[in-house]
Amino acid sequence: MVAVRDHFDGQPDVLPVVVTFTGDHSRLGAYRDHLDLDVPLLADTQRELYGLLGAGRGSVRQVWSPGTIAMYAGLLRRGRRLRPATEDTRQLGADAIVDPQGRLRRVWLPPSPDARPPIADIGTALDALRHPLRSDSGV
Amino acid sequence: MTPHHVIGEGDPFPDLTLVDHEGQPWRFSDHRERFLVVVLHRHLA
Repeated sequence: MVAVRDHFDGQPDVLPVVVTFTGDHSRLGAYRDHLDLDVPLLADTQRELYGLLGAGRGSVRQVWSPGTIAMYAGLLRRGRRLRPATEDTRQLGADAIVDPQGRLRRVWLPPSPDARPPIADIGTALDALRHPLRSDSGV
Repeated sequence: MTPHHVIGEGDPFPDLTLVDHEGQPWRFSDHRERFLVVVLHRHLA
């Protein structure tokens, strides 16, 4: 989430929005402060948006794939303190771009937690939507 | 999670109203002047 904030900082035509499904709204503000986020942090307690975008629950094998374990090990090695999750750990995430006309333009549905798209890929996709002619011509 | 149809690229984004970090309603159609990069997080660990 910090990467999202940092990548789109200074791009006034982009609003990053982080959605979670926690039922405890009071945790959202604390979590936002902890990560020093300045973007909206929203609660989708019924997981309505997750369902509409096709972000389902993964199997245990998907969620705890070797890549996921390696990802968490890397975070620990870098000093990140991880807390046990109190929510559904099998819920998979997603990333999406909505254009200013309110249309879904891109969606990424990673099959495991470690397969989220790099933020640079989302930025590249966004640039292509901003400048479709330039993308088509390869310039 | 309740069952829904799944939308795809090119479809209108649903005009949902969620609750933000201040406990206030946050409606997607109120923020249509910009591109939205929507990150669906897994959990708050």
